[in-house]
Amino acid sequence: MAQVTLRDITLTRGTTAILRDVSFTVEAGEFCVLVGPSGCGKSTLLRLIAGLDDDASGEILIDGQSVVHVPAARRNVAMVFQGYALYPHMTVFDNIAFALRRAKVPTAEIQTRVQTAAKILQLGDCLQRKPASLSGGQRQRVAIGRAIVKKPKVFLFDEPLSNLDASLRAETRFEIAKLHRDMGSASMLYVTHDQVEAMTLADRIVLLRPVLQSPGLGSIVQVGRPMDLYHRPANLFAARFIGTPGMNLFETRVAGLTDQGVAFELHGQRCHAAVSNAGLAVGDLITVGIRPEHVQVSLDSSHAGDAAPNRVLASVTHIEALGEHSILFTNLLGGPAEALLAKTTDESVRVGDSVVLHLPASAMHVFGVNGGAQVR
Amino acid sequence: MSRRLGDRAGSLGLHGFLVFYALLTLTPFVWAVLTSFKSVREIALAESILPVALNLNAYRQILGSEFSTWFYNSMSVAIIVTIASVAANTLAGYALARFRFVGRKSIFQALLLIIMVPAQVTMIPAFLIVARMGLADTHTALVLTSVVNIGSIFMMRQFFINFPTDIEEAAKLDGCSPIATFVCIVLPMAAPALATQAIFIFMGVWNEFMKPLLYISSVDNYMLTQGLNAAAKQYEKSAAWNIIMAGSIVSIVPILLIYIGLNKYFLTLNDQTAGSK
Repeated sequence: MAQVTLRDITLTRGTTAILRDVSFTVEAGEFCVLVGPSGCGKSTLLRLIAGLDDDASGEILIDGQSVVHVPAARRNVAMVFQGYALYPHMTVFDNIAFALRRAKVPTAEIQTRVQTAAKILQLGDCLQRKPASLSGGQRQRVAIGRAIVKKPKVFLFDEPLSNLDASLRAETRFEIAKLHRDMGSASMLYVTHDQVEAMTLADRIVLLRPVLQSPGLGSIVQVGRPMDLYHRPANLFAARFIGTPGMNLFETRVAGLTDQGVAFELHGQRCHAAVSNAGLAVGDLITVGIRPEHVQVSLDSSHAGDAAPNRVLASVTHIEALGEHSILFTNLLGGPAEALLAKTTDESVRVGDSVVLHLPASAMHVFGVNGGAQVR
Repeated sequence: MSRRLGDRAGSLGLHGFLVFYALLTLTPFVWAVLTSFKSVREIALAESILPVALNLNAYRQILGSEFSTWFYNSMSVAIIVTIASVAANTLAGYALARFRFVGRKSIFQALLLIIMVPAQVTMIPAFLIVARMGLADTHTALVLTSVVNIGSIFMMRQFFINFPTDIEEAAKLDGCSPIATFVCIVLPMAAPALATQAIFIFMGVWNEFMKPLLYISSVDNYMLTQGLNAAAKQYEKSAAWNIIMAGSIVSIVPILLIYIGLNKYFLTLNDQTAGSK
């Protein structure tokens, strides 16, 4: 187990900014997921930690020791690549044992370690086969086995599931989580653009943004536990990225400040959000948000003329039935056409129905002019 | 129905054309083989394309002559050049594809310029240089002037540019130095490209005629192409076409064997990373 610390990592190649002011610590034994859209530098960050790239400024420490000038092979890290990077001319056994042979580990110990890894990863029958004859899932496990036998201080995973189909991805996700527990909780840094992987695997998430599109802003958007990012996104970027489907967001103005929070109007309906109103004034431009799963849907249109707060009238335009729930695409009535997504388990809703959407104040998010979230 | 008939007719026509073309291509070789088993009398009478009996006199005569020496000369030069050339071209291609160093672009552009100059233009100047080095009429001259093959350097450079970098990075993390990565990981995976190179370089040296004609003057140092050409002139006078054909047939045997032996690598050239992903 080892702590990994990054301090002020900044990387520019030519005139293109890749990373800016990245600083965070992965505690020993923690499973930390780097997540963000394409181009945010998450794979580049992983490569810097591994020692495959060395053109960034800043400090990288593993177990308190700077590794900036330490060659990749001596950093005691193991990496699982997106494309697995298996040696096609070697058998599975030789692939897994390769690093140990380079390190001149005794043959008997190599045998033991490889067999143990093969047992954990259910590769016992494949050891004498070449990678070309394996399935995608098996190749992925060989790549993980190659990392396990090195007994590294830190595991690095670079989008290891992106080449797998959906069902295999779910299965392998479970195996990786199990691996983290079985390996005595080794420190793991995992890169993905898939927020489902991030939410299900991580002890902590580091959400990154592409700095090319955000001049002056640092790469890190938010660092926290998965449910913290879900319930308390720090800004609009985090709110948009976390959650499938994404958070419903509307621009409006502050209509009033109360003890309970912030009042605003949404399509002629008075609404309020139970958030801190510090730093806000009446008339300020804000963005309000609510996750589709927190919107309560009612088919009873008798409230159409009701002035109850936090209730808006909408028309259903499209339904995606996903089995356990459906996603309703609705158009808000009483104002300019704006869409709002809601999740419901009510199978009686049909396209064209008028529905009343209750937006609970406790589930509302408010983001100020600069995109920062008001404390909930 | 008519469409199926039409497809069938088209397929028959295509196959027929291909068979005809194959026969057209193979006929000279078959004729040469058959001629090599004939006696001079049979050739002169020209009564039948098939030999009356399998007469091995032509082969005995050719193998008992200086042909064996020329065969050995060609074989040793071709093998040495093939090994040295494959090694040099591969290393050069890898360096140009993978390493960033001062002058890399200039070297590549210089190679592009050099390849535009026909070999016939540089042959005489090259001969003058090796003659000044005291290497005229030696096989060393042939080897030195054949080791670097710019076309092969380009081929290997292109191969390594398309080579997956993550495999080399995995090797780096596994403790391999750049040389160890090249030897343990890259070279085995480059086997198809190396075999292709070897086939073409061997064939090129084996079939080379102009350069040996220029550099080699002693009969004992003749390469096979040179020797066969000289012998053909001699045997032609006595219409001993069977001996000439026997010499030609024996001279293509090594090429055939090389191609048969390395063919499987040649066919897998485009599938260099099967199994790595």
